[in-house]
Order: sequence, then C-alpha cells, then structure tokens
Amino acid sequence: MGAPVVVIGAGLAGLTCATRLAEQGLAVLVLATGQGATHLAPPLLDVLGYVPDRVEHPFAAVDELAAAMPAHPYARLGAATVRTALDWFTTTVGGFVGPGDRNLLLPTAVGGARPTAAAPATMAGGDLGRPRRVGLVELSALRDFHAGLAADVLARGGLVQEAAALRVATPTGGADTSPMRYAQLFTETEFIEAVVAELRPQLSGLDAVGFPAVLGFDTAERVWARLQDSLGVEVFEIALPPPSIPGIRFYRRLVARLRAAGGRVEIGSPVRGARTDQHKVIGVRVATAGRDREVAGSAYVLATGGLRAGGLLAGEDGRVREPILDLPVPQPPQPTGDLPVPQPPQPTGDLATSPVEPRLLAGLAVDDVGRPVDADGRVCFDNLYAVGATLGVAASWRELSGHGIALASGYQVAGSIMSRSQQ
Amino acid sequence: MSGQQASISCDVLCIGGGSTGVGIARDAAMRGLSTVLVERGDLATGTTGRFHGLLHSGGRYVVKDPAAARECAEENIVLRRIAADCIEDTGGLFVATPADDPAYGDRFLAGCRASGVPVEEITVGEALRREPRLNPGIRRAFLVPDASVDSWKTVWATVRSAQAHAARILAHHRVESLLVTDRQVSGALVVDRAGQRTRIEARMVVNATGAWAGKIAAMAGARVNVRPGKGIMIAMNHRLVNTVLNRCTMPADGDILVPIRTVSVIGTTDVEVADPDDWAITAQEVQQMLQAGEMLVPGFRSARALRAWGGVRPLYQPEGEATGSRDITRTHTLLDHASRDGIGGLLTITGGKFCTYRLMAEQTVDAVCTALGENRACRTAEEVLPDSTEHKHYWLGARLAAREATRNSDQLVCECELVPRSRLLKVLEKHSTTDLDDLRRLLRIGMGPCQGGFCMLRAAGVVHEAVGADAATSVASLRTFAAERRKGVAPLLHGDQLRQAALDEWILHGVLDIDHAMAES
Ligand SMILES: Cc1cc2nc3c(=O)[nH]c(=O)nc-3n(C[C@H](O)[C@H](O)[C@H](O)COP(=O)(O)OP(=O)(O)OC[C@H]3O[C@@H](n4cnc5c(N)ncnc54)[C@H](O)[C@@H]3O)c2cc1C
Ligand SMILES: Cc1cc2nc3c(=O)[nH]c(=O)nc-3n(C[C@H](O)[C@H](O)[C@H](O)COP(=O)(O)OP(=O)(O)OC[C@H]3O[C@@H](n4cnc5c(N)ncnc54)[C@H](O)[C@@H]3O)c2cc1C
Repeated sequence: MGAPVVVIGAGLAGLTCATRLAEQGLAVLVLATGQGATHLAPPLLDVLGYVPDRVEHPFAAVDELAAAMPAHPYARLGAATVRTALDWFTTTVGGFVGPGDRNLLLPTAVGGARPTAAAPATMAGGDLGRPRRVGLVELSALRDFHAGLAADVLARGGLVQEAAALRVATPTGGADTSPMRYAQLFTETEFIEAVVAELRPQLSGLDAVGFPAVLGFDTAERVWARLQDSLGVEVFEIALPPPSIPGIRFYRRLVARLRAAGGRVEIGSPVRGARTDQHKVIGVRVATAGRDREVAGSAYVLATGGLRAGGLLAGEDGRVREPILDLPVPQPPQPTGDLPVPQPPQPTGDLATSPVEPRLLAGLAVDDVGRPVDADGRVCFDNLYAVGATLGVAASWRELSGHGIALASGYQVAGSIMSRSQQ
Repeated sequence: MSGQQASISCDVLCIGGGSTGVGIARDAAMRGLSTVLVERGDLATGTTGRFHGLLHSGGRYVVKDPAAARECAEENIVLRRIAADCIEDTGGLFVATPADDPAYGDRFLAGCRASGVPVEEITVGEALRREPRLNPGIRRAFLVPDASVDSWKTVWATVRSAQAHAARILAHHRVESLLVTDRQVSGALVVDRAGQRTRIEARMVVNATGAWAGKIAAMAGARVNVRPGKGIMIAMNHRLVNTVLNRCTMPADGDILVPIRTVSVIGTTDVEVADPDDWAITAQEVQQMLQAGEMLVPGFRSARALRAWGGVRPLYQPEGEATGSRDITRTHTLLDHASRDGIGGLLTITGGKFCTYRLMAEQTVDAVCTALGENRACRTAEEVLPDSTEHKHYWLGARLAAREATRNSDQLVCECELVPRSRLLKVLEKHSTTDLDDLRRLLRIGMGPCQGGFCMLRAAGVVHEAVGADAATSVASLRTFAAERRKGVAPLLHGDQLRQAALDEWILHGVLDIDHAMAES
C-alpha cells in the first residue's frame, strides 16, 4: 500500500474523514496531540439551532443561512451534504434518534430547552415536543447537576406539565464523585438496584425521568433500557458540562469502527511542523519521545480543532495564526483601542445581546473541495485539506452548528480525496 | 411624592460603603453614636473592591511623601493586630532592577529610617534565594513588612463589627439628594433597587464616597475637587512570587507585583479620567503592564493573564493647585464644610489608601464628635475584628488544609479557589445575598483560571436550593455573572486565556444554553 492519508487531529471532524476513507479502502493514519472535543461535548448532532431565533427545520435553515452568509462553511457544503454526513454517522455508529426534518428540543442541565438535529437514543427521550410530567434525578455526590434548579427553570419554561426534583443518595464512597466514577458505578448491578429502590417511591404521577448523563460507557444503552424497565417510565440522559460521558462512548465506537476498517490512530503524536514544496506538503514533523520524526502522506487533512483546541493560536497582538504550516488565516476585525470593563457597582449583563467575541470567529477559508486558500482565493497546497473547527466564520456555540460542520466537512473532504485518488 | 416614604433618624449618616465608609460606621457605632451607612451598590464595589491588595509598609512613599509613609507604617502595625485574618504576611522586597538607579537605594534607606518603616538591606543572592523567579540582574534588595491584604474580608469583618455595635448598613441605597436648608445639611434622600425612597435625618452627614466625593459635596453646594486617577491591574494565573515585589524607584507605572492567594497581580497605572464611573482598559495598557512584569520576573508574559480590571483613585486636589495625578499626596483629606464653605452638618473624607482606612475613620469621627459637642474616645485600634480574634494571619495553604480534612464529606463547588459547599452554605446564612457576583466577592468563587465556566452552575444550583430562590432570579444571576466574568477577560483574549474563553462559551451556550432558558414563559 502507498503512503497513507495523514489526518491531523482526532476530533469528530478528523475521525469522520478518516473513517470514511478507511471504509473505502484507503490507508489512513490519524495523528493527534490528544483527544478532541468528543470528550468534552455531548454527542448532540447539531445542524442549526438558532439564527438567532430558534430553528425548527434545521436542514431548510442551512440553505437559508447559506444564502445569507456566503462565507459560512455551510454555504459551501450545502444542506444535502450535511444531511448525508449525519445519516452516514448515525448509521455507522448506531444508537441515534434523528436526524428528522425537525429539531429535537432537549432539556439542559440548567433547565433550558436546547434544539438539536439528532441525539443518542439515551438522550432523545428528553424531547420537550410533547408536554409531560418530568422528574429530574439529583445524584447526591455529583456536583454538576442540580435537579432543584433545573426542574424549577424547566417548569417555568412552560414546555412540561410539571417538573420535580428527585433525590438519589446511594453511597458512592465520597461526597465528590466524578462523572467518570459514576459511569463506572452504573455498570454495577447492586448500585443500579439501590438507585432504582430510592427512586421508586418518588415516581408517582411522573411520565419520564431525566438522569445526568453518566449512565456508563459501553453498557449505557443496556443500563438505560434496564432503568426504563424497572422504573416503568421513560428515562433519558441530560448533558453535563465536561467531561462528557456520552461523548466518550461515541468516540470509542467511532475509533473502533475506524480501526476495524484498517485505519490507524496515534494519540500522543503532536504535529509540530511540515515540509513542503511550492505546491505540496511533503511530510509532517511529529514530536515523539526522543526525537521528531517525519511522516509522509499522499494527502493531509488538518483537523486540529481551531482556537479552542490549539489548532489555531491567537497572539497578544490579537493576530490568529495556524501553527503547523503557517497557513493564511483571514483575521477577525481588530478591537479598537478601548475595551469595555465592568461598570461598578450595578452590573447588568445580557449575554443574549452581548456581541460575539470577533477573535473566536477566526479560522481558515477553503475552496470547493476543502483546501485552504489565501486571501486571493489561491489554493495553498494541492494535497492539503482542512475540516471541522479549523474553519472560520461560524459562531457555532451560538448558532449550534459545531458537530454539523465537523461531520459535513469531514465527510466532504473524504469524498474529495477519494475522487482525486481514483483519477 | 410617595406617601409611604420611610424615614430614619440617626446621629451619623455615612455615605459610601468602601473601606473608608465602613471604617467610619464601625468607629462611630463603637463610640455609641447611632449610625447609618448607605452604599449605592454592594459593599466594596467601588475602589475598595478594585485595588491592588497591598498592605503598605510605607516603603513606597518614603522618598516622595514621608507623611503618607509614616501613616502607612503605623497603620500596618495596627491592621496586623486587629485584622490578622485578612492579611497574608508575605513580606515585601524593594529591588533595583537593571533599569533602576541603585543610588536611589540610599535615599530609600534614609527615608525608611526617617519615617519609621522597618527595613533591612539584603544581598542580591539572598533575595534570589527567597524569590527564585526574580530578575537575576537586580542590583540591590531591601526587605520591608509589606503584606497582601484582602479588602473584601476586611470590609465584611468591619461591617459585622459595626453591626454588633448597632450600626445599620444599607447596601444598594443610593443617595439622590442631600437635605439642605439654610446652608445646613440635615440628612439625605436615598433610593433602593426597587425604587423605594427613604428619608434619613442625621445630626451629621459624612461624605465618604472616595472618587465620587465631589458629586455628593455638590449636592450641598460645596466644591470638592477630586481628580479620579485610573489604575489598571492584571491577575496572572500563578503565584509567580511569594513576596510583594516593588521596584526601588520613584513610584511609577507597573512597578508592584502582589501575590494574592493563588495568583499574582501586576499594577498599576495612573491616568486621569473624566468620570469615576466611566473607564476603559486599552490594549496598550495591557501591554505596558505585561512588559513591566517582565522587568521584575523574566518570563512573566508566558504565564497566563487571567483577568484585568481598573480602579479609580480618589485624589483630592486643593483649589488652585495643578499637578499630575501621580504627584498629588497619597494622604487623605478631611474637609469640614462648616469652616471651609459655611455649610453645616457635612464632612467630606477622601483620598488616602485602603491601609489607612482605620486612621481616616478615627480622624473623621473625632471631627464628628467635635461638631456634635460629644467627647467620646476611639477604640478601633484596640478592638480586634471578628474572625481575627485568634491573631493568626491568613496563609496560602489554609483552604487546602481545610479541604483535606473534609475531602470525603464535603463537595467542592469551585476547584480553582477551593470553595466547598459547606462554606458556600455558611456564607449564605451569614449574608443576605444570593447574587453570584456578591458571592464571588465573599468567597472568590469564579476568580481562578476557569473564570466561572465550571463553578458557576454549581454555585447557582446550591444557592437556588438553599434559599428557595425562584427560577427567574437564579437564571438572571447566572447570566449576569457570566457577562461580568466575560468583560474581565475581554482585554486579555489571547493564547491560553482565549482557549479558556472558547471553552466557557461552549459550556454556557452549547451545553447549558442559558440565553434561552425560560424563553417560553
Ligand atoms: C464543552 C463543549 C460542548 C460542546 N457541545 C456541542 C454540542 O452539544 N453540539 C455540537 O454540535 N457541538 C458541540 N461542541 C462543539 C464541537 O464539539 C466542535 O465544534 C467539534 O466537535 C469540533 O471538532 P473538531 O474535530 O474540528 O475539533 P476537536 O474535537 O477540537 O479536535 C481537535 C483535535 O486536533 C488535535 N490537535 C490540535 N493540534 C494538533 C497538532 N498540532 N498536532 C496533532 N493534533 C492536534 C487535538 O488533540 C484534537 O484531537 C461542543 C464543544 C465543547 C468544547
Ligand atoms: C488602582 C489602584 C490600586 C490601589 N492599590 C492600593 C493598595 O495596594 N493598597 C492600598 O492601601 N490602597 C490602594 N489603593 C487605594 C485604595 O484602594 C483606596 O484609597 C480606597 O479603597 C478608597 O476607599 P473609599 O472607601 O474611600 O472609596 P470607595 O471604595 O470608592 O468607596 C466609595 C463608595 O461610595 C459609593 N457611592 C458613590 N456615590 C454614591 C451615592 N450617590 N450614594 C451612595 N453611595 C455612593 C461608591 O459606590 C463606593 O462604593 C489603590 C487604588 C487604586 C485606584
């Protein structure tokens, strides 16, 4: 076999691209510093959630957004690719509900109602589309979910008939039990039975019960089904701040899929630089114990995750750069001299109306097939592609489009590479 | 006018809930005067909550302003006695960096001796052993009793002492106007957050509004020229040094680095601003501070800048004198408007420093007593503040030690500042606030590297449950807190702090979607 396609970054975008390629029989090597946002983010497959009003029909909204914002990654990808990518992903890893034509509306850990196009079956049952009487479970040693607050806010939102806080104090061996440890406890029959016993007397009149998303890793779906059986109500998981137990679940499945298809994944292999000629990337320099080594590929995919993941860096002067190849990065508008500071003594801040920090929107611009281009639209390197959060313009955390962009761009670039390798 | 307007009458009405005001309230109440304090926001949200955190030894002023130096030296000893728990005894070093004239050290030494500031010159080697990150190019080093002091703790303890002596402390009460008839001030009209007005009648009104003093004095028709001098500070996410570092030069910009709990704070600047409520931090000022830090601690810039803030000095300038704001004396000014302007019933106290707050209060209440014809002695230098009765200084390991003792029985709400659930609950019992930003000042929740990204939700959950708050209040408190934290990092968004901000945005919007919580109602 010839040189592999080298994918830099093991987040959802890089893994999607790599798995697609491996499934089609191409040699693939994923090099990554560490795990990506999969371990932080709930695996909610967002396409579009807010524009800024709440989106009901995500794919239709993608086309509208594309028309209004020609520089947005979706404008190039189009709704059809986004849909195909989500369908591929949900079929490949399994266990998802959606995507349908409408967004689901899932309760958040603070009692909000958050749109998403597709969600793991263990989470999708939270959909607030029909009014129900819901109980939210507080696990006494888990500090990241406060059922009292979430239930009150949820009830106030008016999408449920009733929301109640349920208490579970089953001992965990400490007062501060991490989501990772809870996930492990939920593999133990004794623990599950104790939780069920505590909850049963609290269920009267409830239709559904929401747990913080810690129901385990590989066994989560079985535990979830078992809880529904023993409690006799619908059960769903609610996403928590990092770490993300369900995110880790699907990361493991995707990596297993990639490996089964012959792909290789090296975590702990940061890429520090690259050797190029005028037209092509010739090899990337990987920092491994002892010495750097050069890895040569037939094509390269930059899936380094943008500013949050360190794939792009912002200097003190506000300029954003790409550290591996020093690719041209369209710069965000520079802040003008004076920046606002809090006004004592009566702070009133409204996040919804506060502007998006422009620096966070910086990212690469790419051509039709996904290759980074400079300010004049010229392709930087013939065999270099960029996917996921390295792409600029989208305020994904506001519009809720992170995984949609990661999946669709990863999927599309795999297609570009395959069609060129067949030529 | 509203029919149900409440009214209060007292001996002394103190306006302003910074260190100066609460010091006055405590002193007056301890002397048996019936005392009311009003503050427009929460306590210590003016300059007192936005200062540099240095308990001066006096060293900084020995050459330029010996009177200020002597006051600092004396009050340093008093505060260590009455407010031990609010102070970390870090000690201070004055160092001549390669850019400073080593000869200044001689004037410095002479000045310290003349002003009563304890000082000892140590060798460069000794200084570097004590502070290994210190610029190895320094040429002289002097040890003084500088320390790090927590203004919030001091203010709260002072307030509790005042309340124990029957003072009434009214936060979130803004003075709208003074009651003035025939050039005699007899109280003030105040309005609270809900728009409710209260008429407060007092035998004596004390204007302790710091940089805002000119505005209050103007309500009585008096002219007080307070020039607001803005200074900015930046907190770095490490304890880069364990001793307060000062450059051994004439006071200048960015020449002090103060270790405060788990961070270190570089400051400060001095720029005259038009309005004490209206200031901004410029990108250039941020650069200037980082550069200055580099002079004291090489590699300073590579630490992570967590948060920037500005405070406004109340610098009083007597009529007719014109000097740059750095040149105005750092001692305080007490104005008796009766003798000065022919307006009775009103005193203004402004200028000074945090570390002389007790002395300022003593002199002010002395003047109050004189005006009222009372003869009552001050006891604030002897009576120890609540929490400090064990005479133990705060030490960096305190929270960790407390945490280790209860790690299996108590939950941690804020990892960065090691705040457990039990402490949060205790504070909620003691203070009548549920506002997350108030709790930040009380507990330092959300002040570490994550700037609230992780602990905000936890704190909101605990508070909501403990006080039975309603949903709208809890959500509003979360949103306000998030917006506030964001503003503090805005001037520093680069490198790792930008990554942190991106993560926080994802948690707030992507995971919690707090903007749209309750949108349906
Ligand atoms: C807390 C949180 C919650 C989120 N919630 C949601 C959600 O609910 N729904 C949604 O749609 N999106 C969500 N997102 C966003 C979403 O996860 C991201 O937009 C998307 O997954 C980005 O994927 P990525 O593959 O581009 O990057 P990442 O997942 O960030 O992966 C980047 C990868 O690149 C590697 N890397 C970086 N630099 C180098 C280098 N020099 N050499 C080698 N490897 C390198 C990293 O180690 C990592 O493996 C969330 C994000 C966060 C942080
Ligand atoms: C950048 C900087 C760094 C400093 N560093 C140090 C240091 O390290 N050590 C030190 O000892 N000193 C330091 N100082 C000085 C010290 O912080 C101040 O001198 C001291 O805090 C002033 O306290 P105050 O109570 O007089 O004023 P403030 O704390 O400003 O209190 C005045 C209060 O009056 C209130 N008020 C205003 N108008 C009204 C109204 N209409 N009705 C009701 N209330 C009103 C305000 O809200 C405010 O809370 C520093 C100052 C600055 C600016």
